[in-house]
Amino acid sequence: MSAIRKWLEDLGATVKKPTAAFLMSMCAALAVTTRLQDGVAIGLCITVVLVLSSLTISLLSSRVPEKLREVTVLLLFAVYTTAADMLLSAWLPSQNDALGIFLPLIAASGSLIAWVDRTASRMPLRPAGLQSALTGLRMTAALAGLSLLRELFGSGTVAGFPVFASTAPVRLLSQPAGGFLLFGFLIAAVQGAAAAGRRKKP
Amino acid sequence: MSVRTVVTLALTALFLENFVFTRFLGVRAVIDASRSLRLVFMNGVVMIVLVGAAAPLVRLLDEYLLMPRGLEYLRLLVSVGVLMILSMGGEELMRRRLPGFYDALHAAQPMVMTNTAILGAVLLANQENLSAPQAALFGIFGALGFLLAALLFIGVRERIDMADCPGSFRGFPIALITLGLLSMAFMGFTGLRLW
Amino acid sequence: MSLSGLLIAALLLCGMAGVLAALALLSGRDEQASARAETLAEALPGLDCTRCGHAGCLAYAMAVAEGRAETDRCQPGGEQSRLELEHRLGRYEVEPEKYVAFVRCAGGLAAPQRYAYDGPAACAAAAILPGGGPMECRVGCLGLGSCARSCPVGAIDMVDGVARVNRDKCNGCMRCISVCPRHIIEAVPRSAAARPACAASWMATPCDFGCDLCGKCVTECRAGAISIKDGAVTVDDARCTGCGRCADVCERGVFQRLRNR
Repeated sequence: MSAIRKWLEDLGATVKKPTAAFLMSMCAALAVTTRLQDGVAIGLCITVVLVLSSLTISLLSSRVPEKLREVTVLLLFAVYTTAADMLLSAWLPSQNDALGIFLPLIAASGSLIAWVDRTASRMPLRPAGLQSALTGLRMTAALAGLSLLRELFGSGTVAGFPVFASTAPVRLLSQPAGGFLLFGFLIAAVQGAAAAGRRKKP
Repeated sequence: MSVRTVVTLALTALFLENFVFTRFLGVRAVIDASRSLRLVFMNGVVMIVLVGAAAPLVRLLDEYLLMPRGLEYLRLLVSVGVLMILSMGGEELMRRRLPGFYDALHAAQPMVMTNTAILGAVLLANQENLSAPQAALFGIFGALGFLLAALLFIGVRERIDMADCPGSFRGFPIALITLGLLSMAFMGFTGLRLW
Repeated sequence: MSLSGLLIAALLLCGMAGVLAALALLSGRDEQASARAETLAEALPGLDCTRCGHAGCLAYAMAVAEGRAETDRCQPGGEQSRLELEHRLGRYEVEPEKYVAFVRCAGGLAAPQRYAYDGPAACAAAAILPGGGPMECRVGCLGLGSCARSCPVGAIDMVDGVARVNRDKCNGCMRCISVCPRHIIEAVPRSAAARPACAASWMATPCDFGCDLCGKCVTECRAGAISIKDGAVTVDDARCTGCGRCADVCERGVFQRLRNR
């Protein structure tokens, strides 16, 4: 039982760090990181939804009763995700099809909703917008990195342009299993770097 | 709907296209629920009931209310709304009339709306234009697939916790790698032809 | 996009939002109780054993926070959890009396074993094996030291294969209680004089290190503090005078004196 508690404590400690925290909100987005453009696209969509929701809730939080705030945030996420979905299907329909149901599923991103509900709702307008934009862009960067690795080594292409034409690609990386494994190693690297950074500080 | 369709639906949702391992849904919920077996079953039961009720409801609303009037863009909002109404209404009902159930299940309530498998099941059923009974079955078996994934994961995690894990891998990373390995096991089901 | 379509959309959305708002506002869910339940749950061992009658420690904490349950229902946590809960609920003015851990076993690895155990040196790993573990006694200390490792102040030592708490170092954090898969570590008040170091009752098979329910301690106690409840020897601290006669008269040395006269 103490090991499980330790696990939870570790999880809690890393959630507090901005470096690893946002990585954990990406679970659903992992499915689409098989190609670079998909990863970037979903990252940008998440950013848009996050920023709009944070700005809105920051404006509304004084007028919304405490009990209704959670419901409001969930509905806001759904509304802005629908908007993003419609915009994307109008401007880049092929990209929208590639993202599939994972674009609407942004409305179910637990940690993002929790963050907006607890933190952004108490922030004034400018900081809320800025923080959420930074978080979203960090996530996009991480997703872009992940999808670059997955596409490069999984199918030998980068955004569709063949790079390793003759070498056999690691097909596992294009599968969900490869995504899990790569993501796990990525977070381990981030946690290791954070721990090393903490050790250096006296 | 013949027995064949039902069995095909069941096997597909459980193994070939498992929500967690193949479709990448509900990953966070599996990891969060692996704190205790009780939480895993709570999540599983809540998911089965919720998706089993919400998926056909959303399908019916979609077919008879949204599509005839060209309101497909409301699909996500209607899905989220129906799920929220069912989960909040269900929680209230349990609190007032079935305190035993409430006691047992309400710890899983916060995880409901942030579980991508629940919303994903409803959206997928919608996308594939299943009939209402088919959507219910798809949702129920998909939720059972989620429960299967969560049970497998918690079983492996209990062993991992006793093992000596390198510092930077402890917690989330080793959980994801475990899921990756389990997912690789489920990859063995691809290419299976049912009849 | 027809006007009637837009109207229907608006009606649908407003209707849904209205129902949700009504459900959220009318919901009996007490947000403060939920927040308090998290704090209250820290006072509990976290075993989810359901002996309190609720579905786990968090459910019990929630019930206490909402006023649906009494604070004395946790068995593994015992008096300490009751006092901690009361303290956290704000009903107890004074800091609860300090408790220390006590391991209710004197046998450990020296007690009869059914088979040789070769696996991870974690008590939880041994406890899940078939038959409840390598020991014959199902409530004996497994001797693998998980509690010792979990102790933040190093108050538990493995002496002759059984865990023993150093009462001078123990600060009552209860972490060992939640780690022990056999649930045999107890919180006893610091002022307690004596306790039997055996968790076996008439249902478990006692070993040579354990209590065989001879009843000498019951008859010897002048204050009538010792009795046999549910087939196990229990001490009533309120009546105990600390004379230590029980420990002297116990033939097997199971009754341990916890503080000097």
